[in-house]
Amino acid sequence: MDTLTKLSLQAEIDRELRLVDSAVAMVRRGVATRVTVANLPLGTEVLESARARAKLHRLRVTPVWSTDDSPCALVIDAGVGDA
Amino acid sequence: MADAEPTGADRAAVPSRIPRSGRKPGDRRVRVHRPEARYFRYGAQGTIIAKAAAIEPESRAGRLGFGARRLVFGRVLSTSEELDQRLPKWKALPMFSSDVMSSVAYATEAILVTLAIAGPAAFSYMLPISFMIVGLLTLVTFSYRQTIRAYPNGGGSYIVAHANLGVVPGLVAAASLLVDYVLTVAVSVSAGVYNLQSALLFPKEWIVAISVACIVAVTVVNLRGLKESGTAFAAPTYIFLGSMLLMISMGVVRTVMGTHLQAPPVTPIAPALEGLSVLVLMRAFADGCSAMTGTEAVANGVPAFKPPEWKNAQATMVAMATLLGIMFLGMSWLAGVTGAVPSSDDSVLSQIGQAVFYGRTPLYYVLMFSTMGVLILAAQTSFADFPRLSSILARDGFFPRQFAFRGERLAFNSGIIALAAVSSLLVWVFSGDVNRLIPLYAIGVFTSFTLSQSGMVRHWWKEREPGWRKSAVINGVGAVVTAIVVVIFAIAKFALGAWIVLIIVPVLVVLMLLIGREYHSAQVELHVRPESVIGPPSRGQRVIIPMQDMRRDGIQAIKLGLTMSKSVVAVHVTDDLEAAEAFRSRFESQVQGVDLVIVESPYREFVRPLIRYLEFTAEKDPSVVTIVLIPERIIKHWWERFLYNQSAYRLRDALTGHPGILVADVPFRRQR
Repeated sequence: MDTLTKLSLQAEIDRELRLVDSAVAMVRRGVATRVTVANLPLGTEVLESARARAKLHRLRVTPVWSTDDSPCALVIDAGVGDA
Repeated sequence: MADAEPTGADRAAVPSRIPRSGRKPGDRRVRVHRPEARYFRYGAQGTIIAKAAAIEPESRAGRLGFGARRLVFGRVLSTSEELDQRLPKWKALPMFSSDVMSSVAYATEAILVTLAIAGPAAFSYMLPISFMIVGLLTLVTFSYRQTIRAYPNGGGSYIVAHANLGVVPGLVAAASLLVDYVLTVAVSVSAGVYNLQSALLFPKEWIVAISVACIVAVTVVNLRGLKESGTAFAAPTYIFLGSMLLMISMGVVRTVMGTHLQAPPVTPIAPALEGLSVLVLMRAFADGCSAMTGTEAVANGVPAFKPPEWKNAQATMVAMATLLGIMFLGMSWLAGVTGAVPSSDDSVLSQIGQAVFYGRTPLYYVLMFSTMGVLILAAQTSFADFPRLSSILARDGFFPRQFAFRGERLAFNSGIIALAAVSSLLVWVFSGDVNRLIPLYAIGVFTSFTLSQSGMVRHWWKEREPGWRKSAVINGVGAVVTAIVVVIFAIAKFALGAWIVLIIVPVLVVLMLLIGREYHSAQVELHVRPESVIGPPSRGQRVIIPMQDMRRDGIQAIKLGLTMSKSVVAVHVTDDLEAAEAFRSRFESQVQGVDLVIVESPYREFVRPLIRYLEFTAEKDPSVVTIVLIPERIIKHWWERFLYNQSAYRLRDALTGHPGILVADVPFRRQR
């Protein structure tokens, strides 16, 4: 993988993580009970980082896998009995 | 020869060339099709100039309204026609002097009413007081003649005081004049309608309604533009002028021939006698000075004259003052000769008219009806000057900017409408009672006279042009004398209501200073330094599109968003989990390269969660500008407003002004 591809991949991961951060903030501050961030091309790659960020606020990240190679979605909520 | 590369305006509207065959075989001709020619013509240096057709509305309702406006106010005038709208001297005289001329009808009577307090013997002071007023008028006229020469682009009190004494004195002059213009409309129209009521004997309860109707009529004529209002109001003023001059000359001739002119017997008013005092004489003088209101109108309105503007304005000013002086002295002299006295039965003018014109003859009726007409039209001077002054104040940033814009007929519409509204309100509040309005009158004008003359002294001192000493002395004497008159007004009329003006003027000045400060701070914020070169954008941008459904208006917004940024996010707020899931799977399969955020809102609130989401997003990365594209349907009928775009309106209102968030509507036009 060349440097350019690495950089653009990292930028995309950062972008998707920022979307997760906004979703976490929404649920943490009680604006919404559940926020789904969908159509993430690198959803699988950001899942663990997203989980780590959500866990800091006692939130849960659940991936929604597609049957084919289409992008996945991440659902951020408090989880049953977790909060 | 090769065609030149189109530039500027050519690029904006390149005509299409359609080859056509000619009449004979082998002939060819090219038809140049310029669809834009109906709306634009080509100006110099690559500019295109909009034609009248370009501003015509397209909708049926819009066209109907436009047609109605043309019918009432006339066709739309272009800025280049401004010179045609200028006034020749014969139209400018009635336009700018109707206020001054009309005051002759009541100024003499006002002096007599005040002198009556000291008993009939005090009437002998009438002529000396009139001479003093005419002397003052001469002084003020000479002073303003100089002002017109020194400020050929309009030398109103505000401009002169602002330029030479500073901002606050300038605004004091402006506020004083604005107040007086409003009072002039209220007083003159009420006085005219009151006279009309005396002649036609309609119920007194109608006075307010008829006065307001008269103000509306004068407003409509003024909205038609300067030239037309000048034409419309010239005839009544000249008829009044003719009948007044005829009455005075007939009175002089008949008296010289030995006829004893005798006013008809009336019951004189019987005020509570106070005895002759300096205060009574001061009040009588102040009442007579109300005849001078409107003298400054010509100096304010120099740009309304045909070129050479300043020369025509000077000539008009002198003609106006001469006519006023003749009529005022003539009326005062005839009042003494005929023995006319203030009475509740008949006005002093009516008594003099009957004495000179052999009773209630047709000439008498011409005089009386033209007086009523000119009293109502005295408002015209204010309508000529108030909008002009407010436009200058707006240009200088002390009045809302819309006052500086000319309307379809090149008139300052905002000023005209504001004057009509405030003066109508005043008529309604004071029930059209002239006696309650008059004490408020004239103090403002004399304040502006003083400031203007003082400003001119400073002007001569600074410029030191040849003969400046003589000019400075004339203006200096004018300043001192008018300042004394202001003090006389303040003392003599304070308790009668002048205190209201003394409160309103400072309030207006403060208000204008606040407007000025606001505009100035906005200007500082928006200022682009001339030496700066505009570089590429320094902040990244993300696009967020609220989407409630997979619809074409939302997709159009997404497509637009993708041209603006690589980071495009659709936000779906829902209280229906199943529907949200269906939306997600459809979105994922149909839309590529766009993230989707689904916000569950169990409290069924859509707008606030979306706003919070945008706030959090902007907070996380303040270096990036968030652009919110709001899909909006173009509505074709008024009732569709109630059916569509409600969430879009709420969202736009809630987001506008948030730091780091830009809101843009993406209109979607329905095909059917």
